[in-house]
Amino acid sequence: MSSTPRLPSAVPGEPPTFANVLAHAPGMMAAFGALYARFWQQGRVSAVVKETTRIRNARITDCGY
Amino acid sequence: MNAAHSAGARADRLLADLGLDAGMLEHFQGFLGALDDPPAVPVRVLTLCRARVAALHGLAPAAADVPALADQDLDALRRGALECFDAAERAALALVENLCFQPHAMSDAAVQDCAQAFGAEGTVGLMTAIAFADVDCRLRRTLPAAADQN
Repeated sequence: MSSTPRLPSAVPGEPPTFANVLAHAPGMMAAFGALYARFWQQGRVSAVVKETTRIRNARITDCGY
Repeated sequence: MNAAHSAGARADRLLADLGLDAGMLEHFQGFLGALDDPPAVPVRVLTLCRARVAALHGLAPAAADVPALADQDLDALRRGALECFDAAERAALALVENLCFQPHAMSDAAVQDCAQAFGAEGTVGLMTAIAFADVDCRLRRTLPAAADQN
């Protein structure tokens, strides 16, 4: 399965990574970044458990990222 | 958009049920609020997509979305009768058909149709909003208080 987005990068000269494609919607990207940073940096669940869950979720859904 | 119709407002009880701390709650509400205003996507299209996501989950549309849609819209969305909508609306709804349960079945053509209707920025915003409408429905099916939002 390809993990290359089917939409172009919003950042000239940069490849169409998840972040560079999401940058087409800058308001969403900023809000997502703030939420995601908070999610990873704080909370009751350890980062190890979060990352393990993230990887398992990616495996189950066959997510290239 | 009217705050009473916003995803942020809709999600208040749902997020409260998750037991998030104040900081996480604030960021989550901020993100859900941003989903209400995807660039280059009409409010009606976004509302249709959210209602179709709910239908695919076997749920009624969120109460805040119902007044914005005609009875024939709601009926067509329940039946999956996408031919009842115009070309741009069908392009958006075509993404919904796959994104919730069969994301890998989404075709290149479907993405390109959506990009032609709403541009890359609209397609990105729409796909993000649809994905989190799916999250919203999964939580509504899982959390007791969230189910009351129907």
